[in-house]
Amino acid sequence: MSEPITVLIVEDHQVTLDGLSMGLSREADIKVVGTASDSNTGLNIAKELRPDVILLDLHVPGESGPKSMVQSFVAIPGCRVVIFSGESRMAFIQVVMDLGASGYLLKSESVAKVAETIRQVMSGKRSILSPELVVDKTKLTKSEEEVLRSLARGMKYQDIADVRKTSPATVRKQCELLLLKLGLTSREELIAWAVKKGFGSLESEK
Amino acid sequence: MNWLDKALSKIGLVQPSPEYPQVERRKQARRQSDKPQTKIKSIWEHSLDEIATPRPPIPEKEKPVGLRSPGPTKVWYDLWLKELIRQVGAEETTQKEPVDPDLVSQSTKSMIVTVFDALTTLIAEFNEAAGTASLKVTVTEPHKANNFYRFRISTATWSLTARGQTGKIEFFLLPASELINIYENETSRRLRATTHLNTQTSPSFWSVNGMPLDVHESRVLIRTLFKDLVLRTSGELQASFQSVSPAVDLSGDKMSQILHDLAMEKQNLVQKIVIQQEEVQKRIARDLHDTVISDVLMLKRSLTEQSMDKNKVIDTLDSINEKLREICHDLAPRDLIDWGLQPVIEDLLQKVAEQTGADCSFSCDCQLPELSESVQLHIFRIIQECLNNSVKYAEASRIQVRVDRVPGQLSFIIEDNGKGFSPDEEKEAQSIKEGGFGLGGMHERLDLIRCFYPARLTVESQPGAGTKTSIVLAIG
Repeated sequence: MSEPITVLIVEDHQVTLDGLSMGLSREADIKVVGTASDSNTGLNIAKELRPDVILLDLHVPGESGPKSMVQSFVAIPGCRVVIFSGESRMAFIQVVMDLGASGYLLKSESVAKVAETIRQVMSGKRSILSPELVVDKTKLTKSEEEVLRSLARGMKYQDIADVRKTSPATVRKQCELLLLKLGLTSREELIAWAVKKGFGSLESEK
Repeated sequence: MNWLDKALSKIGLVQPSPEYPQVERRKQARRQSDKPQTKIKSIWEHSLDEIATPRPPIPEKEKPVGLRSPGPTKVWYDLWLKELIRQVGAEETTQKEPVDPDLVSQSTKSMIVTVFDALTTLIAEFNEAAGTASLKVTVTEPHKANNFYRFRISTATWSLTARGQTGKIEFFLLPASELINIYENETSRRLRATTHLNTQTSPSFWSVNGMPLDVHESRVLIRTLFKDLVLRTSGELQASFQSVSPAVDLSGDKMSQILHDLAMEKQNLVQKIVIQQEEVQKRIARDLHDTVISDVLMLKRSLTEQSMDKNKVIDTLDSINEKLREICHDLAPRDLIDWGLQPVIEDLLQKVAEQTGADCSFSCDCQLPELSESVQLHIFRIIQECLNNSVKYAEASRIQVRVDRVPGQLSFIIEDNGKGFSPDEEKEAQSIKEGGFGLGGMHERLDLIRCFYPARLTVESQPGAGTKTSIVLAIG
């Protein structure tokens, strides 16, 4: 059997920390090499031990805000960062993923799910989100539906931007958020999904 | 300060208010001649008698200094008459009944109002006497704040505050700068006078240091307070005049006027801050009361009932948690500090999309420059207000927030394709209690942004043609 996956947990809520630590230690292929309850200690341990995965709570106490904290952790070479947080608002999740986090789990997840995500991240998968965050067709905003319809009809970013009176960059950003929300990885997948869900058909226009 | 002394003397404040020997003598005479003394009258009834009975006119020269000006005297007596008639209620009783606390509160409230009215009359008098070099004051009318009933009378540099609470009224004299933390700064050092409602006898009466506050005592009290305020202010002005560079020509009304106006502006701003603080407190109280408190009561009911639905209780707790979080978030948006302006606007717009089902999009293709926390907050609040209006009034199907940056200029544009409004509608909305479209507040926030960068706010709207609000900052 290969080396176990080394994990550092940075979490200030003691009960959660204990639960994760014990739960993950029971997994045969995962080894918890350190814990920290504030970001500075966490960074120091991470730089020293270079764990494979860092399980990071967004709101641990520290000198800087969540944004710079995530940046610092992501910058450590060889470590993958999986965020573990109560924050469920997509606008902020998108910021965190753009900064380079590999996964984002809501605190309501089970330890088993956490372990599974760690394995997926190690196998190279990126942009993993909690299933709760991943939406199906019914949870999209009106704006997103419009964009999906345009995509399904084969329109390019520039065309969509012209129709919606915004810029191609904005359309691209919206598509990135859609990828995140739907758990997809490329624009082609997005278009395929849109077509599959019937966005391209004339019926979908009310 | 010559003009000040003149004005003070015109309303009889330079000399200490004398005992009024002529008045006392007349009182005695009337008492002995008119009424058969079968029972001991209460203080109030004495005073009532005195006021009600028409007095023979006293030649001007004989009147004591404090009584010479006819204006305030009449107003005084009218006001006090109203108050006294209210006070004198039931027959005198020997047994002590507990006084209804509501009546005590009411009496406190009306006492505050009466004192306030008397003071404002005094100010008008003073300013009339002072002429062109009048004392500029701002007043905050009697209102309820927390558990107190309050008013404030402020010059540019000092403020006389009154706070009343169930049978006790305290008067403080604070430097204007301390108004911001008014509760912390109303200390014993700043306390000028206290008056208590003595409820031991019936009817009850207001007293100072145990001495009943009759008409004359009250005049002395109020005039003394006012005099304190004026003299402190003038002392401060003297000091500020002296501190200005000797190269500047300080003589002349023009300079004194300019300094007055500047000091007044500062005063206005302080007042605004204090008023807004109170507004926020009121809003918190209202939000909490309307949402959380009723839920908590309902929870209590479910838990005390025999058949308790556990799931329902959990759901209600979740909802309370959510609402509390919203209130906290609204008050101090930590998100701005944690994440920056862009994601926060993005999130706000997503919420609007959920609320209205409209097509909402946020466009920001540029790199936002480093803005100070307060500027970010003000921009956020203006955008929030615009979006609130869109949600409440516009009935739009498409709402867009756009950030554009060109060299020298940063713009935030909030646009919807909704109903729009005309200037008349806006005025009408102002009169509705909620503050209408909040355009006044937006401009105030823009003024605050202007402390950092030149900025402009434009609102374009036509009925049927949507609404477009633009905030433009001049940034490199």
